[in-house]
Amino acid sequence: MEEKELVRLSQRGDKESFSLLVKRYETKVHHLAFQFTRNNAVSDDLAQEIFIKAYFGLPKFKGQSGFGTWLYRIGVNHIKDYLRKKPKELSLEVVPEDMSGRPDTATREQEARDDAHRRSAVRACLQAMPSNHRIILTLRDIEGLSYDEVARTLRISPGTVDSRLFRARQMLRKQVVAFLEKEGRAL
Amino acid sequence: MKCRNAERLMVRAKDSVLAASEKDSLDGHLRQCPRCRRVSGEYRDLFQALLPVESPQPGAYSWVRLKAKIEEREAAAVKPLYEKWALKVIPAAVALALLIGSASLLFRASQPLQASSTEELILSNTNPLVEAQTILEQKRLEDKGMMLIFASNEVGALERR
Repeated sequence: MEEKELVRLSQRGDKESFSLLVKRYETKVHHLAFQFTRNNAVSDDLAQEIFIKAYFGLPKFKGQSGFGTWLYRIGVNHIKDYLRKKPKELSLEVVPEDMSGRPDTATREQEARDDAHRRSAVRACLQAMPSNHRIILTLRDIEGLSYDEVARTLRISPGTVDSRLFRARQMLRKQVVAFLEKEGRAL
Repeated sequence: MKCRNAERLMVRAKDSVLAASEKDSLDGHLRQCPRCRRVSGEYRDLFQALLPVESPQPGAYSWVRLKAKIEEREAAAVKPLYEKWALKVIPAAVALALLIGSASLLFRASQPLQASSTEELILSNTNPLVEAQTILEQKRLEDKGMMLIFASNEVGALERR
């Protein structure tokens, strides 16, 4: 069934249609929440709350943007609220991949540790950034949304996406380099 | 090319393919600027580190749990609606009763106090029969008529008052 039709039926309270929309977007929404929280259980709860908000907000959805963009916008705003209230629950630790049992184990384990450390550093710096920079980086560089999708989700122009993204990437690079330099490492 | 412009192109190269002229001038700049070469490498590693490695999946039975929560909120939404109305109706009814009461009092107070013609005569200490007697005692018909006219005029003036 077409997405527009599913949205129309869901707006009338048809839960079966809404369940199909949830099925289509649950992985994306869960993934988005996970990128901000780094916690699977919390991401599960956030994703559920986002879908609940979407269900009860559906009568107001006029279809001016795609359902996915609208849902992402609800998700980003909900996660922003969540982070404002509970910023200390975040886990930035990245667990290195388990390499035991593979050839050349020692070298690979060291590489995995370095990689995990670099990712942890990047994540720590990302979490410390201003929320508008953090959100745009997550949407574009982690979630892989196009410029237009980011612009529609954040309700800003593509030009603003471009300039804000440049500043955010520049700031993140400088902070990660400084962070690693303190530990005597390089990016 | 300035280092700042080179950095912009390095970042933009991640999102789109640069024009041939831009790519040439960036490559030229990178060949001769060790700082920008290092920055370019840092961006490459940064973008790599940002890519998600984990692919978390939503929990099992997510729709079942979600549906239960939606139904729970729908059921909860009915009760507060009633409670909300009840909370609004009680003060509104009290306010309406007060309004009606005060309006009726106001209406009563604004009614002009009108004395009956008997009360008027008592208050002015007048005997109406004296006047009638005087009219009847007139000998001439013209005089009777004139006095009747004056008397009726007087009654009219009293009523208007």
